[in-house]
Amino acid sequence: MTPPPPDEQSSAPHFRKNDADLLRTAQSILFAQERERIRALEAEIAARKDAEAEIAILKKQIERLEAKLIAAERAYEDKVLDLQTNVSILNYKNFGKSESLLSRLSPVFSRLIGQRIEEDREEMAKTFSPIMGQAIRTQIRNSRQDMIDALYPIIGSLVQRSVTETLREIQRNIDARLRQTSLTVARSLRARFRGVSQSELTLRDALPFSIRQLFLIQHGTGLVLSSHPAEETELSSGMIGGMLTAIREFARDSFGRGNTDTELDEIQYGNERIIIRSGQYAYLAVVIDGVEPGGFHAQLREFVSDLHLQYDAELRDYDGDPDSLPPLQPKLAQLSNSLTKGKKREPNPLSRAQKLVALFVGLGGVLLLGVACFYLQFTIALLPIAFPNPTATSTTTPTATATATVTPSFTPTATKTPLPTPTNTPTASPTATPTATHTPSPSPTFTPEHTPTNTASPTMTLTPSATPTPISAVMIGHVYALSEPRLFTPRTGLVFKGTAVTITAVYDTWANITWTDSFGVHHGWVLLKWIDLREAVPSYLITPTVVN
Amino acid sequence: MKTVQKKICLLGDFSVGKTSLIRQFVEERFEETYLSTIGVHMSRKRLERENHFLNFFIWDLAGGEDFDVIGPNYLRGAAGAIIVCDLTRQETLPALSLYARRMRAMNPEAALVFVGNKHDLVNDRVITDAMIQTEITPLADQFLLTSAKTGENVNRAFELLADQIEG
Repeated sequence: MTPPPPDEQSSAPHFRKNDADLLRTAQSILFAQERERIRALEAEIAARKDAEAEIAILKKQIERLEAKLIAAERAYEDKVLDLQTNVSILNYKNFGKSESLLSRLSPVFSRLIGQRIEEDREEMAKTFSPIMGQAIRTQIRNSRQDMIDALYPIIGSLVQRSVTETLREIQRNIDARLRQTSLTVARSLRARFRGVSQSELTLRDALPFSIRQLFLIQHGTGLVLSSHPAEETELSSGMIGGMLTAIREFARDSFGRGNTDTELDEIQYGNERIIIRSGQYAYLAVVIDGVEPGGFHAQLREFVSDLHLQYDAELRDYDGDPDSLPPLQPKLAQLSNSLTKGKKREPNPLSRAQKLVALFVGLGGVLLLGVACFYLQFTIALLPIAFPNPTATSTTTPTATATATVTPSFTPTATKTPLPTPTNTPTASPTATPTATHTPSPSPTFTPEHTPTNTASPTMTLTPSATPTPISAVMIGHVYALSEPRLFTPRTGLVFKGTAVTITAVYDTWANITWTDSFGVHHGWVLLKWIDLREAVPSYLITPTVVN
Repeated sequence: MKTVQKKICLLGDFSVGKTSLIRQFVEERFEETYLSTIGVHMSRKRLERENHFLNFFIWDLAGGEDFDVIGPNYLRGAAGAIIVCDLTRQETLPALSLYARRMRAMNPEAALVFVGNKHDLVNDRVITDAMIQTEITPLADQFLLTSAKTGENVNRAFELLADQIEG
């Protein structure tokens, strides 16, 4: 606030008094506001101080709490450490080794699981079944060798049994085949007439086989679950079941040597045998007579296996009450049928008309065979008449020799002239005709250009050499005789090694021979190398060849 | 009527009369001659029950040491057993509980009937009722005195077993 000017103060004292009042009033008003503000500020300061004091107190409290917390944490950590130490000590003392833990717990688990299984077997099976496969796979992956060691006794035994059975099966098949003696065609026809397969008939004929009885028996109790044929009284089958079971138990105890995998699988008494195929809860005993066919054992095994798959619980829980069993008798009857008749579809038996047709065909065949036999006999009888003794054949040869003498001639025409058989003796008439085939052979080898110069020679063809004597020889190999003295000409017959032949002409390396066998006299050309010449070939038999 | 089948066993020391009891029960006869059972002997008997027939397949097992040799596998699946002692031979008494335990070990729910045989030999009797009761107490509370020779209580023993099996 600024003071009034000096002139105004001196001139108006009254005014000054009022002013002072006003001033005081104004001051009081102004100061009052300020005082209020100061009080407010002082109150605020006081409040802040209080707050700060409270904050300080709180801070102290927090610090104390933090200290407590830290102490608690430390105490907790100490306790945890103590506990861990104690646990370690306990582990070390009592369960330090996992084997120890397992050995302690396994009896407990075993009891628990055993009790549970006893209470509800089905439920336990359902519980375990989903993980069994995976568990086995995992175990195999993790410790293959352990699994092999564990399974070896079972697998080895199974394989051994399977191989043994297969070998027996093979042996039976071989025996069956060895016993087969009848002709295949006759057997086939017989099978068709009977309406059965050929193999069935063969087996039936060779190996008499029949099924006397089938028993399905529960393990342990020996109670007969079912039998076929169904008996009037169940007593005798029940006795058989009991005794069979007792015998099996006895055999296992006596000869099993603690091995539970091996079992009595066959009992023989005379011709009858009891074949036993065992399943988990029941076994099948089949009483047979004779030798069982191939596949018999496999069929039994399959039946028992299927039965257990289908009626697992019923077979296991059977307590003698027939109401608890499924209908097993039809299954046994079906098995019996399939074992005796086989599974293969039987061919339909021939109808009456078919049998008649077959009969007529058979009779016709027999008739034809008879006619053929008669014809053959007739032909053989007429053969000597149709083809007389070949003694005359030697006389035929001169025709060939005649040609030989003619050949000089370089004249084909001349060679033909001797063909006429005048030179031949009359006796040779039937066989002489073939000689004509010989004569042309030399001629083609000669070229016609020579002929003009020798045209006069034909007169020479009438030389007296027309009556030459053939020479004898022996074949030293099996050879085909040919119609001409060159390869790839038609064959006239086969001459066997050692056959006596007569050489009627020789041309180059070829000889014209004549020989006789049961069918008559034959002629033909063979190579000289196949003939054992007992004497030198006379020159008159040799046809000269042209040498250029 | 349907026919129910059951396997039962006759157990006891040798020569206590097991085979004789079975013969009396099945064939209703008795033979004085004694032939020791070798291994096992099988018999059958049909009982007429209230609404069905009951076929008993009776396994007569050799007693004494032979039983140990052959093995307890013959007991498997048996629905019950009659365990026999000879009232004239005290040494046959402990076999009652012995065979009972073996039977129960194989078939925990098997029915058991205890029998003191040769009751007809009154003057030779050495085993008292109290002794039998003491021997079988943990396993059963009653027993029968039988005579295979006279047929006394023989059928009753088998019927009692049938009752227990089907009870």
